[in-house]
Order: sequence, then C-alpha cells, then structure tokens
Amino acid sequence: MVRIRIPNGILTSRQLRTIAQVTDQYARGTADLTVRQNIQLHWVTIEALPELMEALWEANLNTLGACGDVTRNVTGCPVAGIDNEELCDASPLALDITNALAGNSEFYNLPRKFKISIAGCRAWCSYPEINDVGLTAITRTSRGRSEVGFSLRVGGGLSADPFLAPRINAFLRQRQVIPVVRAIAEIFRDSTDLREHRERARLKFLFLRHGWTPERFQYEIEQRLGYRLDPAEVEHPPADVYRDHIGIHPQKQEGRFYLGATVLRGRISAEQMKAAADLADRFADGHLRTTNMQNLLIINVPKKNTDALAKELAAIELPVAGSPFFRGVVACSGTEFCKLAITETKTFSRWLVEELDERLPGFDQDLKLHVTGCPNSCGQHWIADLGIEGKKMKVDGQSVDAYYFCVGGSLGAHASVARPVGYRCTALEVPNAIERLLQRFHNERGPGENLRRFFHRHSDAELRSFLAGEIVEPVERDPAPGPIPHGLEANS
Amino acid sequence: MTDAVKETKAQRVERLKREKNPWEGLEEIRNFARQGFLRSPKNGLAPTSVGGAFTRRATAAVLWVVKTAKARHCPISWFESASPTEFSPHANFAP
Repeated sequence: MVRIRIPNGILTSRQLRTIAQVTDQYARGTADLTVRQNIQLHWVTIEALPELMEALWEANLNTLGACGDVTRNVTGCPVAGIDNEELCDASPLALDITNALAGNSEFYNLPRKFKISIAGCRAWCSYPEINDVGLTAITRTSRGRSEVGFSLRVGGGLSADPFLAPRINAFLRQRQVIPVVRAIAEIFRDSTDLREHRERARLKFLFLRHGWTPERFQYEIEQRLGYRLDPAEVEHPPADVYRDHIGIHPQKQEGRFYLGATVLRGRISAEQMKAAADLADRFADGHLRTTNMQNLLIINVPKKNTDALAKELAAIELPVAGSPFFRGVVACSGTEFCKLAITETKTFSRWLVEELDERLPGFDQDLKLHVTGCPNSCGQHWIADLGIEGKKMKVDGQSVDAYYFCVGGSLGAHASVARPVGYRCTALEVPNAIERLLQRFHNERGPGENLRRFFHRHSDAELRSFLAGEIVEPVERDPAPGPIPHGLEANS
Repeated sequence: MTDAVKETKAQRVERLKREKNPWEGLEEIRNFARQGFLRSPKNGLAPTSVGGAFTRRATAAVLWVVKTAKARHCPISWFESASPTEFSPHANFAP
C-alpha cells in the first residue's frame, strides 16, 4: 500500500492526473480517498516503488510521513481560503506544521502516530476533537481590537479506546501555533511511559493511563515554550453541523463556486481521477480538494460553469447530489487490503447504500453512516450517527461477516462518542436493522427532532430493540484487539 | 548464569526505530526494489514505513505466485478477479 500525503487536502489537477496515472500503471486502477484527506493505492509491488515515487515527486507530491510513528497528514477544512464564513484561512498553517514536523529527524521516532488538525472554519469540519492536536479558530477582542487565534485541544483519538480531546486553557496567537505544536510533539516524543505498550502509546493515554490533566499538559507546554499562554476565550462549538461539502456552494471570492462530488465510500478509479482533473482544468482553474468524508471538491468554478460541471461530474459517477445514505457513508479499507480488518467494508458499504436507498427512498435527514472493519475505527464509527464495527459471527457453523452497532456519535457542541448499544447482526441483516431503526425515527420523531436528539432520548435497550425489531439481550463488544505489530497500520 | 531476557514487541519496535532513521530509508527501498520482493526483510519494510509505503507480504506473495504461474502458463484467472474477501450478499450469505 502506498499512501500519498495531501496536507489540508489541497491538490492540483496536475497532481491528481499524476496520481491517476500511477494508479493506472501500478495499482490496478483503483485508489481510496481516506478520512485524513490522503489518497492511498494498493497492489503496488516493491519493484514499482522507485518509479512510482519519482513520478509523485515530479508532481510535488510525496508519501513522507503518511505512515509510521510520525506526524501524519495534517488535516484541515477542505474549503480553507474559499469558505465565505470562515474565521481565517488556516491552510498555510497546516502546510507550515507539515514542513516543521514531517521529515524532521527530531520527530522521526515518536511513540506512535501523531495526528494534527487545524480548522479555520466555523463548522470544525476537520474533526479537531479526535486528533492528538486539534486547533480551531476563535476570535477575541481586546482594547477594541479583534484578533483571530486558535483554541487548543490535545490527546484526542478513536481506535478501540475513543477519547475526545480535552481543551487546554489557552488562546494561541497565530504566530504561536508552530511553537506550541512543536512543544506538544516534544512532550509526546519524550514520554517514555508511552513506549512500553504499542496499543497504549498514543498521546491520549497520558490522560487515560498516566494521570495527566489538561492543566498538567498546559504546564508542560509552557515549560517548553518558556512563557505563559494567554487564557482561553469563551467558545461556541458548532451544534449539529453536518458538512460533507457535497453540492454547489458559493465561495467568499465573488462569482466563484465550489462543487463537492460524492466519492461513494472513498473508492475512486484512475479514470475518474483523470476525468476530474480534466474537468477542473476545463471548468475552473485546476484546483481541487480532498475531504475527510472521502469526497472530492473542484474549487474556483465560475458561476456560468457550475451546472455544466455538475452534469459532467454526474456522468463520471461523482455526483454533486445524492441520498443521505449515498453521501453519508464512510468506510475503511476492510479485509480487501487491511491485515487488521475482520470484515470486508467497501463492497459491503456500496451494497448497504443501495439497500437503504431502495427501502427508505424519502429519508430526509443528514446521516453519518460509518463502516469500520475492526475495532480500530479507521472508519471513525465512534463519531457517526450510526457506526458499525466489523465482527465475525457463526451462522450454521460458518463464520460470516457481522457488525456491532454504535449509535449517536457527535462532535462539536454535543460532542459524544457513539454508544455501543449491545446489538450485532450479520452483514446481510444490517440493512434490515437500520431500516427498522430509521423507520422508528421517522414515525416517532418530535417536531424538528434530529437523529442525535432522538437517539439521546432513548435508552440503549430501546435502541437495541428498534434495531432488532424485538426485545433482545445485550451482547458485549468483543474485547479490544491485541497489540498492533510494527509496520502494520490502520488505514487512515 | 543469567537467563536471556525476552524482548517485548514494544521493545523490539523501539529498538528498530532507534537503530535507523527511517527518513533515510529510501535507498533501502530502492535496493529491495532492485532485488525483488523475495529479498526484502522478513518483517517487511517496517522501519521504513514512514516513507509512506508498507508491505503486505501476503499480497506480494500472491503477486509473485501470479507472475510465476503466468510464466509457467498455469490457469490463474481467479487471482486476477476481485479480492477473494470481497463482500457479496449472494455468494457469502446465500442460505
């Protein structure tokens, strides 16, 4: 597998065309958009690596730091710099952080992967709460002057032990971002306690296992900086924002639009990538973005071109519209390519969407439907409205793919990890279970009630019975998997 | 006489990471590429995984089998179809 790092998801048509070409040449014509805005290729042989990497370098792309115990791709709002409601364009900082940490010999040997996200938008659409370092833009006013800086969260992560990053009592001025991120990377690097167990080596375990508090963390940061940080400003996290960037949206630049195309569960062919690159040149100025919901955007489109471009995108099966299921499904790599996976996810997800579209044609609620092939949560099932985690079940003596349900995950103002409700079923039964649950929501929801609130007002036992269609005893989630061997990575 | 202390998985990983700065592992990948997959280290290219690539020995082994089978004119069509693990509601779950 080769994972191409795309900081903040910023991509040019030339780069996408190069990725299409190497995908066609070395990866059997198929690639995956990941939840960290990367594009990854499979089936690549070691013999092909030198040529493949050289082709990427020539297009100013690389894979450095996309895997391993290092700073992973720095994610950010995919519409940074063009969003007409953003507080600031944080993408230059995402690139600065990448330049400061990726390839830097001081930080090649971290205890485990290190994930950073920085969002200048109001929707926090890059999910800062589930990153080791999450930065979100915030405005403060002092002495009559307004200043945009950042709130800081540290130690978030999903995997088998989901933990939403606690906030640090600090307001970061923009020039403080790099030193602070660097200080956090140093704290992580120097935490020898974290190097004792691979499965408990992420930054969050300082909080979960070693008694650290946000105050202690802040003290450690300030010790390394040599100065105190300003106290945090009151913030108002976004509430129930669903932002998959799909559709046609005006940019802050007058007369320019961005078009968000749905890449169903992130799987994209070399032909689609090449066609998208050509469309970005033909209808706009050749700039694209990848999103952490595994979608693709073409930006800077003049108004007169939007409808024609939307039609062309639909013709290559990257539509700018779709049902809530089509838009909302996210899936990890699954057993097709991942050694850790328990279930196949990509084909299953496509089938699941087709089933739900047929069964619930008028369903009108935005829905995050995340499919993960094992407890490591690369499909981020813990933050989904409906998250399903891959298992095996015995049916008539045969081991078959199955899923365990986690319900009601949310980020922002109502941040909460999805609740494991004690229900699991075979993969084949999943559409029936979801249909029963969503029909119940459809029939019983209160005025203006969304899925999150509906799930919140029902107990685990009730949700379980909605899924099962009858009252059933809870089943335990399988225990967390064993240590992850070095060199193996969850596909994020 | 002292018993040899068994290295834990985490200790092994930490030792490997200390031994080699993986940012500098690219030449190693080139060498293995020149020599072919079967000459790559038993633990894959783990120390160089930060280069953005890591191996699936099983996958690569399948590719090697395919290549060999092709050379010997063996029937290999099933190798070239979709992944054998691919979900199929009909094939995997037929009653």
